Amino acid sequence: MIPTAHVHILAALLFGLGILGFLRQRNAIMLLMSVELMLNSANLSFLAAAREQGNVDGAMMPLFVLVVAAAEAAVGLALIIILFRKRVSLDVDLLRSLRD
Amino acid sequence: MFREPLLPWMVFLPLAGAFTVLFSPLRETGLRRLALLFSGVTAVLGAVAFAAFSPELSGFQFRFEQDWFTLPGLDAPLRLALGLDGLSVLLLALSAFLMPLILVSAPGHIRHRVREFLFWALLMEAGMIGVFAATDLVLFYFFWELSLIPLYFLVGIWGGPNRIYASLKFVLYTLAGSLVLLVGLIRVALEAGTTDIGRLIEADLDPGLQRFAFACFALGFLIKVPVLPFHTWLPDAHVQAPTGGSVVLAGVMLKMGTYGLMRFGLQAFPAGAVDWAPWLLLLGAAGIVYGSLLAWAQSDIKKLVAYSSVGHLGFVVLGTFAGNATALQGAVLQGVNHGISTGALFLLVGVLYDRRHTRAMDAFGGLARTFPAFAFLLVLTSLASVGLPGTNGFVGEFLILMGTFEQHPWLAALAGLGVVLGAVYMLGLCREVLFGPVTHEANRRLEPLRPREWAALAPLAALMLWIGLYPSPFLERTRFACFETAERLAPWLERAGEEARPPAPALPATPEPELR
Amino acid sequence: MPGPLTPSDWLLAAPLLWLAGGVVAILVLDAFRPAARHEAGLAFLALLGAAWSLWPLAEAAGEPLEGIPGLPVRAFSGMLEASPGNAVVGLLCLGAAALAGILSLRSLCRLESGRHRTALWTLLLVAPAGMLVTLASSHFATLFLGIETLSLPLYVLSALRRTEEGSVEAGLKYFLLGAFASGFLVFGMALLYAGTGRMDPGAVTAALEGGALARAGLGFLYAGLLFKLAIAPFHLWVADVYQGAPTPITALMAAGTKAAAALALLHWAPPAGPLGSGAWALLACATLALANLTALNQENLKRILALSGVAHAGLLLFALAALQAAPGSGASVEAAVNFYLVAYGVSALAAFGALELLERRAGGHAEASALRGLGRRFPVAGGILALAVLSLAGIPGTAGFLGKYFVFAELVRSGEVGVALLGILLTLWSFAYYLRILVVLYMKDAAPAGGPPAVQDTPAAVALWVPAVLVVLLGVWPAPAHLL
Repeated sequence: MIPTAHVHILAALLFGLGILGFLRQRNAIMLLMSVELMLNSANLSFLAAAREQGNVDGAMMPLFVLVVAAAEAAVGLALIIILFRKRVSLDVDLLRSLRD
Repeated sequence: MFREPLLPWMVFLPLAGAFTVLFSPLRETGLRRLALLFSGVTAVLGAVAFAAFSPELSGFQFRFEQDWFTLPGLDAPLRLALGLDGLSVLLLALSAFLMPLILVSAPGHIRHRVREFLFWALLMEAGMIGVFAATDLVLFYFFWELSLIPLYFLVGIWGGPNRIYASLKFVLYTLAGSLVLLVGLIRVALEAGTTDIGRLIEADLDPGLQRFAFACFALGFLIKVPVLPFHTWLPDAHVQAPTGGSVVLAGVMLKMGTYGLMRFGLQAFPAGAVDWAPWLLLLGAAGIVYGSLLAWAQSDIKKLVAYSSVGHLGFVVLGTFAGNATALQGAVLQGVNHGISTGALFLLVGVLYDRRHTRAMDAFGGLARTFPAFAFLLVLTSLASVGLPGTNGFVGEFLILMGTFEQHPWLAALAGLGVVLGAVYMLGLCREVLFGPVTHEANRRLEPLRPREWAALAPLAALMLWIGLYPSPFLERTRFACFETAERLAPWLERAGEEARPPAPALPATPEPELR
Repeated sequence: MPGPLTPSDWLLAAPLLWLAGGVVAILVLDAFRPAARHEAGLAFLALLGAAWSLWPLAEAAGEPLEGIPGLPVRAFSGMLEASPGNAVVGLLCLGAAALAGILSLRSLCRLESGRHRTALWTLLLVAPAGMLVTLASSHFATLFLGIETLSLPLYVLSALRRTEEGSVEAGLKYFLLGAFASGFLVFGMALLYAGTGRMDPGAVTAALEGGALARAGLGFLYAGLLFKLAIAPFHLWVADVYQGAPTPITALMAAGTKAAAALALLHWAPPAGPLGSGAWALLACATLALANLTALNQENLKRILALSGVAHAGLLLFALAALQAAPGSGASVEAAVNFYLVAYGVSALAAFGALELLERRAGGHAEASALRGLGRRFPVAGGILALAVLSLAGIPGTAGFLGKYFVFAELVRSGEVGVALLGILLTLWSFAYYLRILVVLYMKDAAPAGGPPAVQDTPAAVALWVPAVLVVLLGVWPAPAHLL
């Protein structure tokens, strides 16, 4: 059986990858994917911990997270489409009309 | 019978007046009359309070109490508690008395946005009267800040060209002080368990708390007065403010600071007051000389009067912290005197400004011949401001100097120098403006004093002479409170004196009774 | 274990059921008989119903908690927990949604010939539902779901003016950063669960005594929460989002989101002790200082008010610092926080609401130059904005002053007098920009009117009186609400 610690390490690596992606990428869709990666790494951690703890509380959370992630993807993609229609670009660095 | 509802009505009437004016369908003249009616009735009530105040009673009179709400952490509820004693009765009457005069004279300099002006003026009156009447700490703070915002608008809307800067500076300075005061207030309220001022005074708080509270409160009050290093907002505010604003500022606002120093600094936190008194005395005396010297150097009449305020208030601070009843009584009276004479001076400056649209001293000269009524009033007010015997200024300054001399002869001498300097610049002002040849043609055709200007100035002139010639109604009302305050201060002064002296030879050790 | 719902389950579920029912009803109605008036009516009915069902709990506010059995209410096996004071904050969230709705009647509802009407009304019901769950959350699942349920509608509502660049940008920025923060929140929960095996607020205590894994989790959790509350290092999104979002939505965010996130933070704050008050006090001071520093240079009134909101959130952290410094002060700190949230909430609602009306008169601009002198030309909206600004500044006689008083009283009571002095002097700084708003409104000559004439909006003008009156009422007579 895979030790729980290893799963946590994998989850942490994925989470770090997500953060890195969010900070490095400039494409809105890539940002969205980075966030999904972060959420899913948390799911992995939850499941591993639930297996170790032996209760279902932790196994329940990923369900909620998945549902919310789906909703987030829907909202996010809709917003990204509006942006694309206006700008014909997905570069978030172009988002700078709001400032003083 | 009328005693209990008197003070609530005095606070409520201007407040009600403010909102009546705001929503009234009347036009300009009607509004002015309406506002005057409200403040006039308040002034009559103020006169009643002054007349019916019994000099022989200790503690607060005209008490009104009504439970308000409970603050967390306190046992007793906050109360809408109002009352008057010897420290506050004169200032309360003065605040109520000045506002109608300001409203009467206002048409000369407030010509636009009259409704707003009257609203803010009446709101400010409610705040000022409330400050002097409140006997609950939190209520005091409510009124303290309630009177600040209206003045911000008065200066900021109707002021001179640099009004926005001046009003911002004034508010930020004052707020810096009052926010620190708020922290002190919170700590006092939590540790004493009450916010009733009477009970705080009786409570003999822990000396450590007193020192902390004094430092917090005094900072707020010293900025408001203003005492020497904190005074820089005052000339800006005065010069930019419209005449009415200047009169209120000098007449009442600054007195809120000196009143606070007496009420809280001396009465509630005597331990802190004794600790800090040497420094404050020094600041007061320095303020007298510094303010006078700066006033001497001004060529703008309004600036001159503004700086003279710094000097006069130095006297009040000196009297407050001299540590005896005579000086304190002088300080209370001098606060009122300053309100009357400086208020009148600002009104007179306003009279000139309305006619010539300048306040430069060298734009005038020889007005004694062309504008005799004005000249008479200016001379009288200047003499009162200088402290000539027979005018109100003399009584106050004399008491302060006499009281201070007992304990601090050198400071009294320094302050005496301030009196001389005061005479120099005030009489210099009179000479420049009133005497000599008429240098400007425009000064030959000055419009004589209008009825409303007379109506604003004559009562002030009468008061100057009244207090100067027959001060006893004023002095006897303040005597009791001042003596009590000084008595309360005495043990702390003694203790401080003992600490300063080398320690007395040790007493033979008495064995502590053992507790079993 | 799962049995029939208990009365306390029903008590906390009823407002959510009203809101959810409203959403369903609006969607069904839209499918069969689309009519603007009916949708708005249903939405207000649902909000009213939710408030009505929350009222029995809120009514107990002000009574000492020990005196009433069954308080605070715990529902759904402890997944939700609410005190009467929390219920009052919940009413504030519902009121914020209602006011946002009323302000939208003549503006957002008519956008693109009413195309977004249904979305607007349903989302205006979903967002307060999320807020209610968040502020009562005492389980990871409810905390996460609550925060997401309040955020997702707001992402969309921010971008509702989709033809305007600013609105879209605000929505997308809010979405991206919000989702990023959710990532932290969930990952923190996962680590906390892995480290302690618990999913209730007890996990926080356990984590502080536990290993590195749980402590790291705690850090991530707070990062996520502080983002929603917009505390110093995580506050950069606020100005942009508040500026770009339609002003009614900004009002909802300022009053509702902040209140929900703050109460969630309070629920999940560590108990007194190990973390110390220093960290919270430092965070509070940094937030106040940064927000004030930034706000001083802003031209846009919406941005100024947004940053003022950041400063207020910072001030709220002083209450947490007090909680840390004085164990056993939990009840009174919570009361102070509840009052502060309500005071700030009504002030912010009045401010943004009045700003919305003035903005319409200025052709949709909220820059200082466009709003010059409008306080005189539109005395009611101008007066309410001025009053709200004075309340935000904390002038006595307004709700803001007592809120400030309560928080600083907690701080002084916990012995942190020095921190209190520092904090209160930091608030002095904020007066510089509050007074600037008054200068713009009243002390400048009016700008020439620009843009098309605004629609007469009677409902909004009338509804604005409610928060305005509350600002004064809570300021001079807080007796009914002072011990939330």
